[in-house]
This record gives sequence, C-alpha cells and structure tokens, in this order.
Amino acid sequence: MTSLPQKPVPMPTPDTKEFWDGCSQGILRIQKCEDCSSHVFFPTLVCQECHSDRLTWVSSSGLGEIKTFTVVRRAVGAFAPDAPYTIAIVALDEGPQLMTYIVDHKESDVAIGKRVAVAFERRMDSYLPVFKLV
Amino acid sequence: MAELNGDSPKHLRGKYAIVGVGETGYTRGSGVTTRKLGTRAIRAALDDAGLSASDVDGMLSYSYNDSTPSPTIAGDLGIRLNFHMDVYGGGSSTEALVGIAMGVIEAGMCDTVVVYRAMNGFSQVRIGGTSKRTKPSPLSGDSLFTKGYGYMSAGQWFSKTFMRHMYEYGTTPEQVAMVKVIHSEHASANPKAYYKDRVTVEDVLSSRMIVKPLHLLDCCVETDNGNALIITRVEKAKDLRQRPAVIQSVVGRCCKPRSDMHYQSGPISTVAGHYAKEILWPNAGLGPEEVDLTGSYDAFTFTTMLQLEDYGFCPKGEGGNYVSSGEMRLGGRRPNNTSGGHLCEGYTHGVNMVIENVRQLRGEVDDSCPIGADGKRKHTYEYRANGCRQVRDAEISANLGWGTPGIGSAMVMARG
Ligand SMILES: [Zn+2]
Repeated sequence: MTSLPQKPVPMPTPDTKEFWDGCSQGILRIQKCEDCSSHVFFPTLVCQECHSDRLTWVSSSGLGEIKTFTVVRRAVGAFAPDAPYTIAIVALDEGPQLMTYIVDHKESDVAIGKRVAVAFERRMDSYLPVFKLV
Repeated sequence: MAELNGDSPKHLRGKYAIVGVGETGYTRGSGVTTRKLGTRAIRAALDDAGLSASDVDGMLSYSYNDSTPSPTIAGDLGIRLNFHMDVYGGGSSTEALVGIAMGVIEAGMCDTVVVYRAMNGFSQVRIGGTSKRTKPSPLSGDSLFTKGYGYMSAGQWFSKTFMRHMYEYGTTPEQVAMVKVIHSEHASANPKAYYKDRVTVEDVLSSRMIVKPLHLLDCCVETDNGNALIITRVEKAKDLRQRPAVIQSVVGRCCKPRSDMHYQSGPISTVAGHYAKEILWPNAGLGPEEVDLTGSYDAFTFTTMLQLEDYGFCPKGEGGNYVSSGEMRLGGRRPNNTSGGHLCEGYTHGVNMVIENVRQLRGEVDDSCPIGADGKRKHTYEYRANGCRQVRDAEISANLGWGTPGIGSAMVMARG
C-alpha cells in the first residue's frame, strides 16, 4: 500500500517565527529597518541597505504587483494533482519581492504588472501567503 | 563593457592549460556505477594527454551526492593524491573547479589536477524531477519561502526569469527555439550525441508545455555519463601529446546580489553573467568580439540566450535576435555548443561543453571526417548531418557555465 505524497510544510526557526505566526493570524509580516526605513523580506538579521541590525516586524499592506510568473503544467510528487498552477514573484508596495502562488484565477487573466492582494492558504498546521488578482 | 586592462596583475593568464580530455558515451541506462564512469573518463583523459597515473597528484569533482568521490576513484586508478576535494553542486562547477585547480597548483599544493563529473543523470538521480517522498518534508532556511510553492525543478526555478525577459524585451519563444534547432544541427554531426535528429522551430513549439515558457524541447536531455579534464602548467603541456588549450581567464560561481533568491536584487531578467563579465574579459585581455566560438550552457534554450546577452555578445535585450540570426550556427560568425550541448549531446553539468571547445581549439573535433595517415582528422568544413563540425581557425573560445540565474562561471581558452 502506498500513501499519497505530502507537500512540504514550514518549520519555523527563531529567525522566522514572527513571520509564520503572522500568517496564522492572517497578517503578512515583513521587517523594517529602524535606521534607514528600508523594508526587508525574507526574514533576516541585518538590513541589506545600511547593515543596521535594528530590524522590527511590521504589517505589510499585503498589496503588490506581479513582477513575473510561470505556469507549471507538468508537476511531480505532492504537487502533481495541482497542475496547472501559477508561481509568481510579487513585488509588495513596500518594496520587497517574494515568491508565491497566484490563486483563484483564470490562467489567461494572469499577467506581469497586474495588481494582487495577499490571502492565506492552510497547509497542515501552517498558513502560506498566496495572492489573488484584485 | 568593462575597460580592458592587459596589465592587471590579478590573474594567471596563459600560465595553465587543459592538456587532456576524456568521456564515456552519453546514454540512458549506463548499466554501470558512477565509480566506473569516472574511472573510464579519467583513463581516457590520461591517454588523450599522454600522461600516466603517476603524473597526476590532484583531483577535484562535484556532485549532488550522486557520484563517487575522488579518494575512491584515485585509489582505483593507482593515483596517489597530494590534493583532492569533492564539492557540492552542479552546473557552473566546471569552470569554478578549473580555477581552483590552477590555484592549488600555483600554491605549490600539487602539480597536475584531474577535474571530473560522473553521474547516472537518467537512470539514478534525475535533476529534472524529484524523489518520490510520501512524508511531508519540513522546510527550513530559504526554502521556507520557495519550495512550499511547488517549486520542485530547475525549470520552475528559472522560468520566472525567462518570462520577465520576454516581457521586458519582447523576446519570443520562436527566437529562443532556434537555440534547440541550431544545437540539433550541430549534434547531427556528432556521432556521440544522444539526440542526433535535427528539429525545427515548429517541433519545439508544438512539443508539450512543461512550465511556461518552456516546452519539452526547450529542456535538456538527461543522460548517464562520465567526463574528465586534466589541468597543468603550460610549460609541462609542451611535452605532452596534444596541443594545449591555454586558459586565459576563469570565473567561478560569480553571483547576483543575492544568489539564493536571485529575483530579489538586480533586475529579474539579468543573470550572473552580467557581473562575471567584469572579471572574465579584463582577465583574458580580450572581449566578446575576439571570441571564435562559445559554449553557453544550455540547461534550457533560454539559459544559452540569457548568458550570451549578459556576457556582452550582443546588447542587453537583443539575445533573442542573437540566437536566432544564425550567428551561432556552424559556419556562422561564432558557433555555440558545436557538440549539441546539453540539449542534444548529453547532460553533464557543463564538462562536455569544455571538452568540445578544447578539441575545437586543437582543430581535432571528433566528427565523421576521415582520419589521415598522420592520425589527424582531415576536416571538410561541410556542415551537414553526419558531416564536419570543426570550426575553421578556432583560436579563442568562451565557456559560459550556468548554475541558476543568480550563479555563473566562465572560462576563456586559447589555442596553444
Ligand atoms: Zn537599513
């Protein structure tokens, strides 16, 4: 007997716990530098603009733009039943760019430059930030 | 382009050479271990160079934990090592390891180094797919923010760069399909190539979509093979069997501002070659204009195009024109991957593209042209299926190795 493959799940570390806790609460958290005001993602220890270590967690607007995307037609393992699915790089209005899914859309509606808003998708005991077209 | 400084003291231009190359066949289902593939490739390279096992005292290899490390292979070959290292990694390792070989010889740590890659890339560990896991794998580190989204293969990781390039510069799938078309023409004159059939733009575009914008025929072949290179000082090369391929410049695993999440810093449509070229050309003391043939890594059709563009073979954004103009076809101004490369000959994480250029610079590419009484091949320069694939008067080559959009390696070689 074989069981279905499972999708990978986040394993938060002390560096990333705030982020994943935010996701569970429906908040997209990013870091902000107290010295130069840059926003930073993914969770890190030092501001890449000014090298300050005074980073605090703030709530992102959750709004952004599709910088680029791809549609996976042939997927393997746990993701095989999901194909076709859309992976995108979204630039948040605060600046940082992150990898994500675009969900709840017709494939022909997805395009570079389109506006998106964050949503959260449950996976086991975690929530992953995903985006929807607005 | 970078300002060329021929007096730069930071390089070892012209001091080292590749003096021997060796390979197994390119197959699907080698039926042998990576230990045997590596051993056979190195024996072939020693024979090619006219060296015996006792002439080699350094060894470097790379793998994704899918190979046999150098202590075993050196032991099997009767090579006593003064230096060895087995590093983790795939594409972009070849040129990086050649640079390390030069460095350790220069440091007096050893005298002559073998670089090899042995892999059952089809029958054992396939880079294009994934293992069949049934338990949820916990995500840590940077993969926390990527792999959860079903990014499972190289194609899925790179495609977003390709899509952005099409968006910004109007690059078309038709243009980029020409990379496969041209490499298939080259492979049709390569008796070793896994795929020898010529294909058309229509064949590429009508093959099934794997991950947008990559069709099946935009993706490289997966094969089983062993490849080896032998590096030593140019003075030593003079006494050996082959005309040396002299290393003019080398770049190893040069990165975009972030290499782990390459899309976060620097334009998404720009790849590591944009940074690597600032090392490659000044250290070589020449620029793209002087290069006779290229080996731009073709994990996908798009990787060849993006690298040629970012290393300055054409202006930024004009890569689509460059690869579809015929310039990189045999008989064109600057042929690329004359063996057929990863798209057609076989998948070796880059070594076979260096082997091909070493043979091109010798003027002794292993096509079907007749061998004369002196043992040398008599090239016809008739570029057709089962014909010649030797580039006329090949003097300078450039290999552009690809790891990811964020990581690249490169090497310029000259006819010795
Ligand atoms: Zn700062």
